[in-house]
Amino acid sequence: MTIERVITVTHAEGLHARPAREIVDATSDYDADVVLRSNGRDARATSPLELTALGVEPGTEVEIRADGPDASAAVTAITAVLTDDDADTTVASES
Amino acid sequence: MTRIAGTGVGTGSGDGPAFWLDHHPNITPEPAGRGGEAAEATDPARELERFERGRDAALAELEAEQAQAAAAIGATGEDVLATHESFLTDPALEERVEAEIDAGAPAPRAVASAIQDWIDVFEEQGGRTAARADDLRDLRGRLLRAFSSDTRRSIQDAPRGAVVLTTRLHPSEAARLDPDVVAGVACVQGSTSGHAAILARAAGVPMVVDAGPELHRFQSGHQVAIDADRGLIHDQSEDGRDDDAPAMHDVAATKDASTNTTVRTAAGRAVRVGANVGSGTEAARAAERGADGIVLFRSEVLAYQHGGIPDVETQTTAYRDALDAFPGEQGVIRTFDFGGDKPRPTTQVADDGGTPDQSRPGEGASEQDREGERRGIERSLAEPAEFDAQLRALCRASHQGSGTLVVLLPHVTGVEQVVDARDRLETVAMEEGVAPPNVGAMVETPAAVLQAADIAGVAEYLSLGTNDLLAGLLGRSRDAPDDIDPGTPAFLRSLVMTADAALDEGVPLSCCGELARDPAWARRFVALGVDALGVSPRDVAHTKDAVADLAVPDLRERVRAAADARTNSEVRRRLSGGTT
Repeated sequence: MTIERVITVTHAEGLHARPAREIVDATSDYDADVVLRSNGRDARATSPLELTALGVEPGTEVEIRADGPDASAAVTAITAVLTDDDADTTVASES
Repeated sequence: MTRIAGTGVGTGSGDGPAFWLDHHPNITPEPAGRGGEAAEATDPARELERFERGRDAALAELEAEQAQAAAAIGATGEDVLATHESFLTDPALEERVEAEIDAGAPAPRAVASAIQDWIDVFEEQGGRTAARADDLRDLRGRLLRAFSSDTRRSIQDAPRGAVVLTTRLHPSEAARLDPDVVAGVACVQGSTSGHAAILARAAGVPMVVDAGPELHRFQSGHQVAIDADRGLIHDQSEDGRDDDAPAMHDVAATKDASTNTTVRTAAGRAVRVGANVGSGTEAARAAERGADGIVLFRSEVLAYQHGGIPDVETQTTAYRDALDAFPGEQGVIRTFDFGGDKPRPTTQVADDGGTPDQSRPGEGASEQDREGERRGIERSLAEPAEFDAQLRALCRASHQGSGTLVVLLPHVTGVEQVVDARDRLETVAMEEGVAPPNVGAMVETPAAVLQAADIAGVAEYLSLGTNDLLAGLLGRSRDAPDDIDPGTPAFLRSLVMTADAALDEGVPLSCCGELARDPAWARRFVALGVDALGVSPRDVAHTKDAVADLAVPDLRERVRAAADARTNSEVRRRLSGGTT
């Protein structure tokens, strides 16, 4: 089963350090292969380096594509990470 | 006398010259420069091991610092370190490092260059991503420092037949243990449930962990013996002054015993003494030691070896290798027995073992806790895709291998489980165009004992699992069965009921529990009608000796009388009423 969904990132940090890690953690619970696409570039949801390299800021659109038996659940979990706008702000000092 | 005790991992023993991996004074660390190194010939396997070792060290450092940071500067510091940790285990980094190493780069240069690539990508992206490039520089420094302080020898440098000694065996090293090269391992620290222990057990290399700093008294080059069953390490260079360790020599002697003949009771009934194994390699070793086939192949060991459920092809090869170790003889392969004290490994790794799993073993365990209490066949039936894949591999191996396969179902608690599993097996066999293998059921729960006759009616084979049965009868955790006294009326009655059920239904009965290696219990099992005993390869010879020419009738009466006893002390008295 392949699921594709386009979402707008509302996480206050965009898709950097901690959200990238949260996506990797969330994805590890599923069998589905998940790829995130933004600005014409792909990143595996298992790779914090590739996710960070996308340079996704809050307000950017991201396409989530998951392939596997639990694709739908994986997309839901990742959407939850990227649209978590109550993220705590202890890392606001990040430049 | 130098003989120290630790905790044994796996079974068996081995001896050879000691080979220390750590703190070797003759090794000069390589300079950690990036680039500039002469184009020397490198061995990719060795460089990859060096990378993994460096990364292990960097990860350990990061974990320690994270704990400190959490206490000292709060969540932000901890967060940064957690990010570094996630970059270190990133598949996108591993792939680039491996590609560089494959192309001939030494580990430090491969790491420097792979991280530089990512620094360039981050800086090109700009913004907050570019700010992360400094984290990568930091990480690169940390890894290169780990290389430059690495005076550890490679496990691949161990001479053939060596006993490897180390403070702590890294998982990446354990994944490279080859039982044909390494006779045994002893560690100052470590635990029997750690990742390295699981891998050593799967490789069939005897290991003793947690031996303490005393281990340093064994110097490189000394002749050392490891006994995993007893958790002992013994310096044989001092033999002649040490009369306290005869066990090691007994073991060496049994290796060559001519045990390739079937043993029979005094009345001429054949008793098979087969092996309990976890890999094709171990099966081959068991064949050398005169085992009569495989009584128990623990397939879950494969999953531990591969850090996840291996694909059909990998499973097929492993099962076929085990069957090929015993042409024309029976090979009993048990389907995955996860649950209880054996969590299912959850991380999938490459089948070639090229990327050892760096995740912490505890992660799998906690996930398992959430999966609940399903065990053995119940769990397999709840995971039909995974179970069918295993049955498919078993059908193919049965067709290709030279031994006769029995598919053994673990932790059976009811007749439907056997019927359902057989239905699936027959469907898969039909799809594969092969004859369905025979099906056996483990009798290792009180439920199975009470229904032994019913279960025997739908199976071709029964196997007593004494460890779980004893724990189940007495309501104990399997983790701590050492102090359980098997001489209880409940256990003996369970044995009698199961043996009678197998006899009435005309189904062969084996016993594959730990108790079978105790000569007195081996004789009792045979007296009750058990046809085959499963023991670790090293116990085959002495178990054959224990049951050869056994006079069954007297002993059978005595064991049956003991089963009728009311108290444990009465059991003891009745069991010891003769020459047992």
